Amino acid sequence: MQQVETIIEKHKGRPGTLIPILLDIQNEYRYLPEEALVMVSEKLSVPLSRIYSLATFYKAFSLKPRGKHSVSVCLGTACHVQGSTLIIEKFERDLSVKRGQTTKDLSFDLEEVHCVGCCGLAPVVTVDKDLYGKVTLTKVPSILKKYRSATAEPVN
Amino acid sequence: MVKVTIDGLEIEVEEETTILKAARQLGITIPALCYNELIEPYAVCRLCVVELQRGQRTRLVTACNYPLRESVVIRTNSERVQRLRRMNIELLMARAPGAKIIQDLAAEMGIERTRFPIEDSDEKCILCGLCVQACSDVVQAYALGFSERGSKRVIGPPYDTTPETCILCGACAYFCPTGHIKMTDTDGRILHSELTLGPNAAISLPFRQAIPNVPRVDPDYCIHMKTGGCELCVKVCQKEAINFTELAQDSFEEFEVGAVIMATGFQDFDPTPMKQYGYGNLPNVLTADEFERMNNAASPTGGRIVMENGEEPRTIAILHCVGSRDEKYHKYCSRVCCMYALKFAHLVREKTSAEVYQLYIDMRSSGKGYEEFYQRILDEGVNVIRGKGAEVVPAYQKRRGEGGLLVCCEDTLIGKYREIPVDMVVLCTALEARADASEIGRKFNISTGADGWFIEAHPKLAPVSTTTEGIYLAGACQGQKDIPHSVAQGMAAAVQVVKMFCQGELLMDAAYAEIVEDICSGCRICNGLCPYNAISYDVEKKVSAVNPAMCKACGTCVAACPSGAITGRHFTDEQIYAQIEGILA
Repeated sequence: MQQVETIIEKHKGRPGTLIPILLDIQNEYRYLPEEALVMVSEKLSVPLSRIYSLATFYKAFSLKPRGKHSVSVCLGTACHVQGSTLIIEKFERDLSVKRGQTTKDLSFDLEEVHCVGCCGLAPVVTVDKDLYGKVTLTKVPSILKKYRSATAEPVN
Repeated sequence: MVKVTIDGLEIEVEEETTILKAARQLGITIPALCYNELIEPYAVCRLCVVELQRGQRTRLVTACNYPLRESVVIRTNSERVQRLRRMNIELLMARAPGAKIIQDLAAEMGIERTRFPIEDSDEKCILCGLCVQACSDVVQAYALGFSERGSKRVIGPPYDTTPETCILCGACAYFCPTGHIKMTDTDGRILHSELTLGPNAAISLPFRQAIPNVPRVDPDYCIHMKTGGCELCVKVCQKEAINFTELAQDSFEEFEVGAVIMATGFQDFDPTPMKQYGYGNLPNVLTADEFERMNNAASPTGGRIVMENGEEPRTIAILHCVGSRDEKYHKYCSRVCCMYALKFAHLVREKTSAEVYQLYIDMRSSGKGYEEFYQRILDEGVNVIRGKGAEVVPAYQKRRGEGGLLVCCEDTLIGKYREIPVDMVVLCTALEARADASEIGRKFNISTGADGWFIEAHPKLAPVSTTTEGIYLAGACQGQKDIPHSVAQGMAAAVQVVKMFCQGELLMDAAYAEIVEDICSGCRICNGLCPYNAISYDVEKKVSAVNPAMCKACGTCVAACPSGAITGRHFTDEQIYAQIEGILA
């Protein structure tokens, strides 16, 4: 919890710092641990119920530990037509999770999104900030492999 | 001031008054579910929509939070408003099908069922947030909040567990319009209730028939005392009788006194463990105390004898010896029950036309005029059955009786088992020593007997004194007794005190323990042993000293002193040896 204290210290004294603090904690731990929220509540004198409301309201925050890499499969119209349902099912099989869940080893989150704005590349998958276009079923294992070995180089 | 027209009626109100308040002043009802005048309106239920006309343009606004600033025309019940309200109530019905108040409001609008899909048929929460606002704005405990969003939005404490900040005040349950929030007694932290008429709050009468009969604020449960917020009572008390600055100055004061009269009284036996009488489970089974309270002119019923449904009972059974003369509970006779039970019968006959059954083991009417009163009750037509009430059951369990309850007993005078259908049962509960009697006794150095009553110095010759000089007993703390006896004992105790004060000095027994300071090693063994707390330790001289006024010459310290420093005056070893020698000579 040392980091939480440093994060709070960094933002302290300025109004409207609750969300930036929570964002920093989220980045640090990849989720918002209960103890961290309690600490923020005590240090900023903001009721825990308010912080909890906020933390559950925004999708950027998670109360459960999130994976190291976030895999988003687009299910928008163009991707859907190009068979993205099969792609996301393949991810579900390969990662042994359902969409919206995190793998047991906390390495991947699997999310469905609805259009990332590059329908020309459909079907589209994003991993963290990397974008993969014209994904096929056979490309799925190689994408995952890149992040498993932690040497992330996007292929197009 | 602005002049507005509501449903054709003109009214002049102060600026910023809400439409709802203005309408209420005119006596116009606007349905509102999530509105509470003690809480800032949040306009969630949307049932209070009204049509607002400014010039030629009309629009729909929520009455609860729309402040009036200019002259407008408002229609609270137009076709358009009604249509929208019906839609809203249908949506609410689908959202919270379990809430009776919504069903009732819908029925008023002529809607029986909703067209929208119902997810959970028991759901009562309409997410109005009154509880959240009550918890944060009024109580300032901030234990409740909204979480998630959109269709997943729920109200609850963080992480769905009872938070430390929750002070169990019950404000959320109080403000909840649909009855979704209920207080449950998980660890006995919820209070008792006054005649089970409703949940108790921080402001209540200290006990039934308290003198003075005015409510008091219990700082242990007062929200303001805990969080500094709330103060709702101050807002609603029209007499401005609540003064928190005065309350905050409550303090403990110490007095030095020369004598103490213990008059701590008794407590009522709780008949809940006696399952056969159904107290707490069956309706209209009352304890004598509750029945007495009901008969009081200042009671919630105004002194009328009524059942829980508000109707007058047709038959009442009064059961004697509940907890008294019972091997399992108290072996003793409580002495007062027979007579007050007869008084109850008299009151019932006087106030109602109900039949009264008295179920007794023995009628103990010994006292001046008591037997005559018993005869009078018999003449009044009260049914007196010799036989202890065995069981009280709901009537339908045994057979269909005329009342809701059935009292089973053996009538030992006719030698028959009887089942008496009644509407109400009064349990004459035993008088018992207060639960804290032994603790208080220890503080004042008076012992308690097997039943928990304080023990007097001598049952015949010193019935008001205790073994500790200057402490006297009065009333039911010394044993079960009625009012005349309590008064007599109280007066006797007062005289004892006055006698002591008039003398100006205390008459002591010549025999008491003495410590020879030169021999005392200051080990302090005797200090803790003295049953009368008569020995104290002198820090300067480093020796123990006996207070002769408190010493009862029991000799415990004399025997215990390892250095032989303590002698009992008039009981010295030499004296006793001399006596033995005298006998033997």
